[in-house]
This record gives sequence, structure tokens and C-alpha cells, in this order.
Amino acid sequence: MNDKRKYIVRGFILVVAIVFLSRLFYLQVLNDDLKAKAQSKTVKSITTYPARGVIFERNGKEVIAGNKLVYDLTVVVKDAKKNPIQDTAKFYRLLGTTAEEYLKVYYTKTNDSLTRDYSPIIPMSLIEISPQRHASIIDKFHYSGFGFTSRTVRDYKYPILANAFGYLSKVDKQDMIRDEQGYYVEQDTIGKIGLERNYEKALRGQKGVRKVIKNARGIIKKSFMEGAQDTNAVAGYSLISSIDLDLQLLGEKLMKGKKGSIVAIDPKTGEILTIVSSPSYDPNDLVVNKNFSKNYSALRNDSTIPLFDRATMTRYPPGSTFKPLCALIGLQEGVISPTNLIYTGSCPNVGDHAAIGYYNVGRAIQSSSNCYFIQLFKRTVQQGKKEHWHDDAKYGLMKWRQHVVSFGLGSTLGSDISQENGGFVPDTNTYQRKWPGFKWNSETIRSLGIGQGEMGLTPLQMANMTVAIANKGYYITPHLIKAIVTPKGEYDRLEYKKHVTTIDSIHFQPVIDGMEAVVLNGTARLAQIPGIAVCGKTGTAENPHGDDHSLFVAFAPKDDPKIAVAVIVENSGYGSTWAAPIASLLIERHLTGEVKRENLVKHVLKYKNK
Amino acid sequence: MRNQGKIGVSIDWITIGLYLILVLMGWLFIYSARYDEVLEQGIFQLSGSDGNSFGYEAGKQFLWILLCFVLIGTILVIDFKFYYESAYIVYAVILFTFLAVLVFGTEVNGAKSWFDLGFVRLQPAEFGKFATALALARFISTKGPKYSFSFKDYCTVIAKFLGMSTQAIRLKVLWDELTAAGIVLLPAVLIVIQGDAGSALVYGGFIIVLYADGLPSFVPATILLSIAFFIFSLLFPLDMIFYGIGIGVVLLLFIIRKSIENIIGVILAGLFFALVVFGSDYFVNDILKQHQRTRITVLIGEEDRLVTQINEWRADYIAVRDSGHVAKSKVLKHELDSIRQCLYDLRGGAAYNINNSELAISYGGGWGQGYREGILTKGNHVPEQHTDFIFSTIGEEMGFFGSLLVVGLFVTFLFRIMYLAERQKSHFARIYGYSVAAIIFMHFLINIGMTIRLFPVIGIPLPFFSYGGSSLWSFTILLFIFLKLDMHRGQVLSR
Repeated sequence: MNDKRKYIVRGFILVVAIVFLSRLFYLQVLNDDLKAKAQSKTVKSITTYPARGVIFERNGKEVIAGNKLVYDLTVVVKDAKKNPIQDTAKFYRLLGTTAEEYLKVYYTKTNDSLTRDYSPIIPMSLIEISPQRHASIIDKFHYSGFGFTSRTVRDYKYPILANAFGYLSKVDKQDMIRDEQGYYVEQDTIGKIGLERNYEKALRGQKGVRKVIKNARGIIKKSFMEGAQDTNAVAGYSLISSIDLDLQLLGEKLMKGKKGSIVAIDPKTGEILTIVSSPSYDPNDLVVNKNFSKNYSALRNDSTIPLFDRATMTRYPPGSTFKPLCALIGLQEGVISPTNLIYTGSCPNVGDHAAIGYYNVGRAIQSSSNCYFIQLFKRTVQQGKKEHWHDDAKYGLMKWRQHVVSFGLGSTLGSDISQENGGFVPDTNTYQRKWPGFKWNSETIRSLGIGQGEMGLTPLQMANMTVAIANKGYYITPHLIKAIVTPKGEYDRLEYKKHVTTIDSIHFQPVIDGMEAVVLNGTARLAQIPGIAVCGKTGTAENPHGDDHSLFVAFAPKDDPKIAVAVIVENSGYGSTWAAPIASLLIERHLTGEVKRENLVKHVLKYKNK
Repeated sequence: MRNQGKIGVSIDWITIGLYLILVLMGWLFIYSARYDEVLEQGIFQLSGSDGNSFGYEAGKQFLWILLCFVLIGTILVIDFKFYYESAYIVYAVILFTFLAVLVFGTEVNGAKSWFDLGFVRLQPAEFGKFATALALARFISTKGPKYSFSFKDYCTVIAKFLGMSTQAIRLKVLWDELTAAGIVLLPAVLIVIQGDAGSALVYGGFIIVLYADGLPSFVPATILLSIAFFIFSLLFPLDMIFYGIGIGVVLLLFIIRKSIENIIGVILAGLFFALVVFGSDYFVNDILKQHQRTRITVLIGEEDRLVTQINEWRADYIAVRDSGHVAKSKVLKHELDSIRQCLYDLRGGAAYNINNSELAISYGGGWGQGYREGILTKGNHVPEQHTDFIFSTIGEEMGFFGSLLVVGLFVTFLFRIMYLAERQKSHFARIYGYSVAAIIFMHFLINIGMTIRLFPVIGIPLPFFSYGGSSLWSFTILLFIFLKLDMHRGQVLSR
């Protein structure tokens, strides 16, 4: 045989072998992209979801926002088609659904070409079944291809605190953009608003991952790398809220059918004992389940806006409840002294209900004299420090505002309620904009002195202002969560900042005395509680949208304040009529542990907003 | 039975050793490819407790291996002269079965090339290879080496035909060469008719045999160049290639010695390759069926091209739709949908096997995932992974190390057979030996090439590895007839 050709043939075989080995070396040793692709094709990450942390009432004994199991009916379409259901009527009856409802879900899920995940051999969730129904049908439910999977959703024992606690929902585009760590994937749930949103990271825990190998048909064969890369789900942290459950339930009961809000705070700690926004909704209606969208859109379209948290988001004019603060500013600025008398016969058109006469600061508060406080406001703003009236008023207003702001008004308090509104306290710019070129002075803006005009405070801010008065000059950032409990049971108490007001503590006594007199024999005698020194102030806020709002702020006991309350009942007229008794009942319940004045409760329950 | 005493003395144990290693590895990897954690089948098990035999291919392969030893015994016992004497008869019988299978055969995967005997399915095409090798060896050894009919001679024939030359030519030699080609082409054509074009391609390996035996270089050179032009026709616009050929011809006409034969030769070559290019294009676009065409186009980035095109067309579509041209956007939408369908077809068809095979091999890395640990193998992601795509299982479970081992074993094996062929005194045995090497090489080339995206998906087995009785037996017969001839290399067979 031709020698040269012998080698050419061998050379050809070697060239082929070398080409093959180069290609194989590239594929197997050098190329990482294909390996990653191979892994993504075969290794499936199954996410395990931890139980969300629960939220306790203030003693950590009873759960307010808990978890419950729900079941989803699942179907493996291929198996279900093999043995079609004979008695379909019974099938629907067992599931508590109708043919129409069931088939709609079934066909959407199996026919939608957009659902890339659809596979006839992988279990697919269809409809949700309550645990009770699941327990009752599990023995009778034998259909080829059908089964159940479980998951947890929020569960609320009481239909309370819906707005403060907030709700969960499926993540949307915005959530995904905000999620810098890439924690969420589509269909995950996230705290949308309220505490659920604010404490999302603590509550959600940590998802776990189980990596499994699936075959070409998508069926799981075994765990990947014997589970070396798997992680366990870590349960969410639980929260101890500051809510006094009994007080909250009483507050919700008293506000039923009314529009308005209650906020009660423990002055010593800043803990929010009760927060009511009415009308509200049953939080069980907004758990992530099949009814979520339906219920949500119903609530969205409700004209009483139950999804709106009035306690932290509505700006009410504080009305006369603002007068104690104005008195304190006057005392601090030295424009009056506790014994100074002011004659109240000089104010036309201020709608004063107090008799004309000579008033000191305590009596002025007790009788809620509009004329007194308008004169006091003019003195405070118009101190004659600047030459021109207008400039003097501008200077004085900013000084006045500085004191007001130190009570946590005009900006958000930094509470742990995510949707908190900052309210509004006007400054010089407000009036420059309102009257461009007009040389306004203290007379022009006098209604500020009686809590009307441009002022706007949220109920939370009103309660907090009362706390600062009760504490004689400081408040602690109001909050709903006082501690976080880890799954292991470690108790982590949260620290909140103490804020000191610009008013010296010596000035508080005459004002507090005046507020006590309001309850004893002033405008809010309905708020009296036998044996307890209650200090309060009524307010009747004029409201451009309708009837006046009834307002009342109070704290008790006078010498060792344990609770400060703000109550607003919208469009219900005088503050003394509805708001004062509600506050009084809450104080009684909190300080004595019971409500003895059943008649007063009945009286309060009588009133309903239209 | 007078040769019995010599068997143990002169049989080539190295080849037998390599053969055993390849068959044993094949068996082990068939077991791995079919092993299922639910079935937990044993390597010898033939069926499950429920009588189901699907998934128990390793057990069956073991049976086929045992049967191989019966075959080997039979081959070695038969007188070595028989293979020379009966070469044409065997060839004729096999050709007859080729025809019979067209009438009585069973269709599997679109090819009517199987006899279903109940317990086993036989593919006559597999046995055509050794029969053709025997017949070709006998024909060439009878006629003797006379490949003096060179390219120039062909040109002379044409020149003479055109009346431009008066040189004498030996038409008898040309006739013998065409007969040799016919012996190879006849079974190949029948196999194509059976619908198994892939198996027919293997017969191209006989060119190597003829080349080694003295066939003028221009024949394999022409074939290699034709393949190159075929690939060009896929990659470049046709007119560009035609211009290229034209320029090449003109340049060559300036360079060569000016004789009428040379000028005819160059022009002929130019026309021939132009025809190849034209034919390739026609073949790919008009003769091949869609699924066959994508087997080729997937190699040259068809998938990426479709994805890019879909993205561009979608942008156009959205722009037109948003501008409010309802009618125009409907047309664009229709076009978009049809090209999307092409991509889905591609991914579900030709691209599916090759993509997954490539992924599995790549995932093996340097040292592999470990025996029976390949995750793509375990998930049955590569179709036919115990038959035609068994190399993907080896690649995934043994990594580059395993690839090196398999490629190395095959090269060693082929070199050993060629070495044995070259020590034959008998021309018949030498030609036959080279045929054995060439056929195994063609399978090796096409099969492994296809699993690593160097060749189109052509369903032919990897010798000794792929599951299947027909293929294992045909390679065993092919090899052991040669080893039998080798044992008697001292005895002159003919002439």
C-alpha cells in the first residue's frame, strides 16, 4: 500500500480527533454560559415561604393579626383528563363552587397562551378552599388528578385596626423597582400600607430555597447536590404592638356608624393605646385570596372612603382644642402672665359663646373665650419688635410657629405608621402667596389664634399635642410597635426619641388647671369621671364641607397622666356633645379597667353619621 | 475445522481487548442513560415486575453482547476462504433483503428499514456494510490495482470526445472504476430509498479505502472541495460564490501550462463546482423537507438569526400598530406569527436534540458529574440518549476526561485496524481491513460530530456504544471477519 497515503489517512483521522477534542474542550472546560444554561434548564428552585410574623396586643398575650391556613385545589390536567369526573354536580357541591365559576378559572389557566408555566403534568392551583371545607371534604374528595396544597394568609380575630395595620397584596411593578435586593418575585405578597408595609422586612422572614432536578417533562426527580445549596425558610419576626385591645375594641364600638377618629397615647412612653379610623372595613376582607380584587375595588369605590386612615391622614382644623397651646405660647413669650386679665368685650364677629368680662388664662380656657385668645394671639404675633406692622407680624408669626412646631405639628411625627400625614401650620409664605403684595398683620390672620383658618392637624397630632401638655413640655415619638420578638423568643424593645418643646415646664400649670376646669365646670362637663381628675378641651371646628366637627382632647389623671386622647366626630356639632363623652369613656376604661356609665355608652351609640 | 488449532495463536488480542473495552463501556453507559430512580432496574434486568420492558435496555444489551460471542465463535470457525469465495453471494443476498425490507419492512421514525421479528427488530442496512466491504474487496483484488485513470485522463476523454485530442485512452480501466463505484453506490441508493439517508452517508467512507488503495487524489479532493462549496452555499450569497469561482478559473488559466487538457480541466472544474453550489442550494431549499433542512441550518446559527429577526419584526409591528395602520399591522402580525412558528418548530425539532446534547456535554465539565449522576441525562433531556446520542451521556457523566478517553480509544482502535490491514499479504484482506476502519471512522465522525454541533443531526449509532442489536452485531461481524482473515494472513488467499 502506498506509504504516503497511509500517513495522509492517519493524518486525516488525527485532524478529526483534534477538531473534536478542541470543540469538546471548549464546550466542557472553557464555556460557562452553557453550563449555567444547562443548570437553569434542569435545576428548579422551589421557594418555601415562611410564616409571616404575627402582631400581638400590648401584653404579648393575644394575637391581633395572625395567620391561617387556606387550601388551594390543584389539578394535574393530564391525569384529570384520563378519568373524567362522572358526577360533576357533586364535585362542585363539595368544593362549594358553581360550574360557571370553576370552568372560568379552569379554562383561563389552561388555555391562556401567556401562562408559559402551564403544563398538563404539573399540579396547578385552581380555586381556594377554606380550612373548614377542606377538613369536611377531604375524606370524600377522590378525583383523579385533583389534590390540595396549603398556604398561609393573614387572619384577624377582630374586625379592628384595619387602616393602622394595613394589608398585604401581591407585589406590583413599583414594589419590584423599589426592591433593591431582588427579594421579591412575581406573585409574592408584600405589606402594602400601614404596619404591614413599615415592618415588612421584619415580618416577612426569609424565604427558603429547595433546589431540585427536574426532567424533560418538568417532573421533579430528586434534590440537587443532595440539598447542599438548599436553605430553610426563616419565620418572620413577631411584633408586640402598643394597642390596648380592650380599649381599642371599646373605641371601635363607640365610633361605629360615625365618621371620625380616636387616638389615645400613653404620655410616658408615646405608645399608641388606641387608634380608630371610622368608617373602616373588616381586615379579613383584604387578605390575599380569591376575593381580594373584588373586595378591594368595592372598598375603593365606597363613597365613605373606608380605605382612608383618618387617624393619621386627615387634616382637621383643631378649633378650640388648640387654645391651650396658644395660652402656653403667650406665657412663654411673656405677653401675658397667669394672673393677667383681658377684657373680652372688644371683639366683634368672633362667634364667642363665653360671656363678656375680664378673663385670666385659666378661666379663658375653661370658657373657651374666642375673644381672649384672639387678643392673646395678636399680642403674641404683634410684639412690636419690628418697626412696620406687617414686618412685625411676619416676625411674630414665625416665632409663634416655632413654638407650635415643637409640639410635633406641621410635619410628620415619624411614627411607625407609614401613611402618616404631616398636617399644616401656616407660615409667612402661606400668606404672601394668599395675598400677594398685601401688608397683612395679626388682625388679618387672627383666626389662627382659635385654631381655625389654614391650620390642619391630624388626630394623631392632636393626641400627641395633648401628650406634650400632659408631660409639661415633652413627648416621645408616638408609635404602634414597642418590641420585636425573634422566632427564638428574644425580646427586642424598640427605642423612640424624646422631643422637648420650646415651652418651659413652669408655664404649664395654669393651663392644665384651666383644662381641668373645662371638665369640672366648663364646656365639657359630660367628660367628668367620678374620682378621676380629667383635663380636657373641647373644640368645634368650622368645616367648609359641611356641619362643624366635634373635637375633644383630654388627658388623665391630672397629676400623673396615664392616657391622652383626641377624639373627632365629623359633622356632629359641638365638641362637648359626642367627642367628650367618648374620650371620657376611654379614659375611664383605661384607668379603672371597666366602664360603669352604661347610660353614657348608650347615649354615644345613639349618634350615627349620615 | 483444520484451522481451529491456530485461533489462539495468531488472533490479534490487542484489537479484541479494545473491542471488549468499547462494548463494555457502551453497556455501562446505556445502563446509566436508562437508569431510573423509581424503577431502580438492575444492569442485567430485562423487564420490570409488571412485565414492562421499557427502560430495561441495559439488560437487553447484555443479551445482545452474549449473542455477539456466539457470532464471533461462528465467524472464527468458518473457513477463511469462505469470505472471499462467497463475497458476491453475501452481497447479493443482502441487496435482496434491502429490496425485501421495502416491501415487508416496518416503518420506524419515518424510515422503512426494519424487519420486526417480534423479539427483536433487525435493520438490514446495518449488515450491508460488511457485505459491501467484502464485495468491493473481492472486486478490486480480482482486478488488481490499476487506478491510473487520473484527472488528466478524464480531461483527455472529454477532449477526445470534442475532437480536440488524439491521445489513446484505456476505457477498460474507466469501466472497472465505475463498477467499483457501483458496488458501493447500489446499497447506498437503496438505503436512501428506504428513507434512512444518514446510514447511506456512511458508504462515503469507501472513498477512503479506494484512496488508500491508489485512487487518484483528485477524487477525494473533489469530494472535500464539494463539501466546502456546499457549506459556502449555505453561508454566502450564491452570486458571490459564482463570481469567486469565475475569478479562480481565470487566474488558474493564466498560471497553468497551456495545453488543451489543462484548459479543459480548469474550465471543467470551475463548471463542476458552480454546479455543486447551484445543486446544493436547490437541494437544501427545494428537495429537503423542512425538518431535514433545519437539521443543517441549525448548525449555522438559524436559531439566533430567527430570534434577531423576530425582535426586529416585532419592533416594526408595534410601531405600525401604534401608528394606527390596522390593515398593515395585521399583515405584519401574520408574518411575525409565522416566523415565530418557525422558531418554535426549530426548538421543538432539530434544535432540541442538538441544544440539549450540547448542554449535557458542556455540563460534564472537566471530570464529569459522575457515573449515573448526570442531571440532564437523569432528566431524559436528550432524546435518544441511550442510542444515537449516547456520547452526550458519556460527556456529561465523565466530562472532558471521558471525551478524551472515548476519542482516544477510537483513534487507537482505528490505527490498530489500519496497521493490521497494512500487514496483509492478500489484497482482498487488505482492502477489507481498510473498509472496516473506514466504516467505523465514518460512524465515529458523524455521530460524535452531531452531538457537539459540528454535523447535522444524522441518526446513525456510535459503534459498540449505542444501544441496539443490529448495530452491535453488524460491527462485530464486520470486525471479526477481518480478524479471522488476519489470522490467516500467512496463507495466500488469491493470486
